[in-house]
Amino acid sequence: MALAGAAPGLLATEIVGRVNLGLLLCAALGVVSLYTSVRYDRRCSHEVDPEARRIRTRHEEQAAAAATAAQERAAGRRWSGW
Amino acid sequence: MNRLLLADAGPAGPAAAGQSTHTAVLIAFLVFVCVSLLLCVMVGPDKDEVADFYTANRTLTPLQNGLALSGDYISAATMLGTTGIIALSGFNGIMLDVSTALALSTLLVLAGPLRNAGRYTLGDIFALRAPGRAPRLAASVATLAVSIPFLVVQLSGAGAATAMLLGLTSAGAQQICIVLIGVLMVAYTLAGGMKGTSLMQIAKVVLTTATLAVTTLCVLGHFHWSPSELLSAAAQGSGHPATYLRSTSQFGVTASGPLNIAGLHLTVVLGAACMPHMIMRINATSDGATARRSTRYALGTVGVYSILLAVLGLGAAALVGGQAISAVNPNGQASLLLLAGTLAGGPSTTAGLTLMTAVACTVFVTVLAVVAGITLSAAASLAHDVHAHAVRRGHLTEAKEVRTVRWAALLFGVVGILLAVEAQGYNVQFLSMLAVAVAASAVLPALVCSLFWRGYNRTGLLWSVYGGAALTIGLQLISPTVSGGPGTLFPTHDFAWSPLQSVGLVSIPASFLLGWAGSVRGQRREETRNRADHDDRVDHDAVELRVLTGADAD
Repeated sequence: MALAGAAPGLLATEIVGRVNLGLLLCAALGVVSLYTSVRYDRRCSHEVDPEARRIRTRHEEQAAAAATAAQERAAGRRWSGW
Repeated sequence: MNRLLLADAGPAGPAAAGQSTHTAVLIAFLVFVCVSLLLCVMVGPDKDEVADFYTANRTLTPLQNGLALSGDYISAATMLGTTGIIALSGFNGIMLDVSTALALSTLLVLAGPLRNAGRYTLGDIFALRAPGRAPRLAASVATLAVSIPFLVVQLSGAGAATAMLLGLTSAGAQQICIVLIGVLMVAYTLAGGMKGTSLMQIAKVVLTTATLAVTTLCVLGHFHWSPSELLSAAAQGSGHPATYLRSTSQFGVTASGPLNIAGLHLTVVLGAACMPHMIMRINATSDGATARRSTRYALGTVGVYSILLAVLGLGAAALVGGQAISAVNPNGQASLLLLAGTLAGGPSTTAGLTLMTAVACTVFVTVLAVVAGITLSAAASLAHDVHAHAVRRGHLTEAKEVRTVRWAALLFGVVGILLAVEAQGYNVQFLSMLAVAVAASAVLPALVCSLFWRGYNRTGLLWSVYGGAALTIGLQLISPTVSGGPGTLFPTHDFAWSPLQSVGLVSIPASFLLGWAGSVRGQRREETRNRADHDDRVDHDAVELRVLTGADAD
């Protein structure tokens, strides 16, 4: 796109028949972005998601432990009060 | 040969299409409306649960959601506008087409965190770093500032297109068409909720892709499957063969000069995917990973669309001719329909008639499905952000909230219909760009900062949302796209003091800056206020945990 502003002549170079460099670059941009998105998604689901799941599970366990502890404390208080 | 074709294609538009076309189109419309309304009522939410109405209980699979997302993304304005721009401006139009597809990459990066952090609406995400009523109101204002212009431009365009397809040209007929489409849109939203509109979108995407693919094959077959034959015919037909296939500094009536074109692309790439109805759709996925997967599918579908639309735009330039297209509408909105009227032997043969009817239906369905999605997100924002959280501070029962959504959808629909009817006869094309620009400069900065910046606070959020929206709308009003030229809203007045046609170039960075400045100021004020109220303090660690992993999300 920067090229389109800077060098319109270059982009109009015709490669195959009437298909010029600009059109090919547009197509290339589309293909590259699609490829990148697939790679990004794959990579996220392989590397980031398991990590996130691990952290989330740990967090939930901690929260559950804290809740149990609070319950036990409450129970303890009740016993000591009695 | 090209001359001959042109001479042929000139009068053979819908103007010359006979009574049989109109009857066929009308029957197809009615059948479609009945079937889809029935479908909506059948799958619609039967219990008054908020999650059911807003997100279909998150039961849609990634593929279904991806298809629905691409359906939300390809609006009638995109479909007709892109073909028109490609038909009229050639290479620049194709670049815009590519930008439109690229915009979903922005959403791809945001999708996972957005879903992890969000619940239903934009306000739920704003509330992450800035709890309270004002940010909720700001979210609703931003949603409406994007949705209303977008709805008006879709409805008024759709009214004109439908009236043209039915062979009616008077202003009154166009207004009746607008009202009818608007009523249908509200009916879909009320009856179907998120599930109904999703199913509509999926059906629409399948139908549209099939129809457009067949039309594209017809175009390619017409030019003996040779791209360069198509390109040279398109360049000939456009009326300016020397510049058609090159990047030029003039972009129809939309933008001129490299800076304006760069601004246009920036706005589209950053804004087009951050529309509130897209965000609501992201929140209908079951978790962050699914949201990302859905966006990937949507990116693939939109990529296919872009290729189809590019070929169709070129085909329209080649077969209908630039002159005939801009004679109907200077923005080229009619090009797709004109092209369909000339393919496969024209409306006089069975094949041509079927094709023409199918394309007409496609346009009609696209409009209906997208406006229903917009209505749903705007109504959800009014009910969830304004009524449930800003007014009642979160103390509203689910049944009541669903009732509010229904009323809000009705209200929003009526306002949209009235505005669109009023706007009939004016050139409101700039509203579509305005909606995208507001999304890019009011919604996107607030989203990005809310998700990823710990220092963001209430003052920063309010400054960037209101500042970004006001700056965009203000700059757009004094830009050359609104007044002082042919093809603008006020061609006879001239108050275009600003040379910027695409305001995103200024307003997007400005909104980020405002967000930063506001956050710094808010931080300082917080410190001087001696940390009086601890209730409002945001636990940034918890927010970060939630954004990155989806812990405690629902």
